[in-house]
Amino acid sequence: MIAERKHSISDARIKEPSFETLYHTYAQRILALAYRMTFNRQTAEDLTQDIFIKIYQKLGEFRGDAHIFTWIYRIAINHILNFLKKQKRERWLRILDLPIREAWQHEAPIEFEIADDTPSPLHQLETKEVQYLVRQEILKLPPKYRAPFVLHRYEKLSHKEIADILNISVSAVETRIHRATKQLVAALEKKLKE
Amino acid sequence: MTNHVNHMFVSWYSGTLPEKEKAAVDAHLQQCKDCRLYFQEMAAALDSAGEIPGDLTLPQGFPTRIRALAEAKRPPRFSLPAAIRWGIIALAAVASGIALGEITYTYTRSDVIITAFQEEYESLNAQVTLSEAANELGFIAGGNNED
Repeated sequence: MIAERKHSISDARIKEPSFETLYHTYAQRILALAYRMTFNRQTAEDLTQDIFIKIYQKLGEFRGDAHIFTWIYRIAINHILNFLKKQKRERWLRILDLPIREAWQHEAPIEFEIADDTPSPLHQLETKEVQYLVRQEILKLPPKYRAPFVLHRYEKLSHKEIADILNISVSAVETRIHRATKQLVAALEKKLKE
Repeated sequence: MTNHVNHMFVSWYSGTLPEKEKAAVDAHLQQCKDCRLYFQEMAAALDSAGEIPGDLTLPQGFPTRIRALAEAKRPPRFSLPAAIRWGIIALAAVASGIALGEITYTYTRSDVIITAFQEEYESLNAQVTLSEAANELGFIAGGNNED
């Protein structure tokens, strides 16, 4: 439902948007994006809050020379990427505090949730296992590959839209999505062979 | 296309296949059950990770909270009446002038002091010979004798 709303939103050029309009149009989509980048409900909610605080404060700077959609997604994705960088740095600092033997074996647990809307119990188990596996692998992707992959596959944005949001070329977007997919498929195939 | 196309999945799924090649892969998938199954399963697995929990929604009152937090974090912005603004500018100008005058005065004064000191020093030098000074300081043997 969220993805279906995209085009009617992105096609519209809003010159002087009100915060309420933006919130009602984009809040749920930004929450979904944050969730798909972190697979953690609370983190997604916190990120959405921070992103909309930024949007509120920067609204006066929006000049209307870009799609409001691009502007909002740029703020959102930059904020999420900064959060992931900070998270990675903090994880390393935690590892540095561990005794050497523990640090050597340490792999930070990845915290995320599993969606609970699948049909039969058997099918549910298998689907959840696969979903868990893929999410683990997505979280292992470098954020610069994860962002275009999520934006393209789950947010259903075109390569051009992603290029505008990330401020990179379309070919760079394609390369990153391709590499991300390749890494995920390799991990899945390896798991299937086990 | 008779060979299997599993190796094309990554490009197909990424949307990076040229139109012609994509059409050929799609045509192959219509005919080849193995490849079709591989593509379907792989795509379904990757897509499943993007599912959103049905109850993932923002809490009631979220925009009000955001607005309050944003206002609290925003640096205070207020504008003074024009008369007060100009008054502050005038005071700043006067203060700058005073500071500048003080610096100039100090500089000039120190220049005068240095000049006076140099003159005094030279007059002293004129009266004291080098050997006398050296003798006074004990650099010359026999100098500073008891007579």
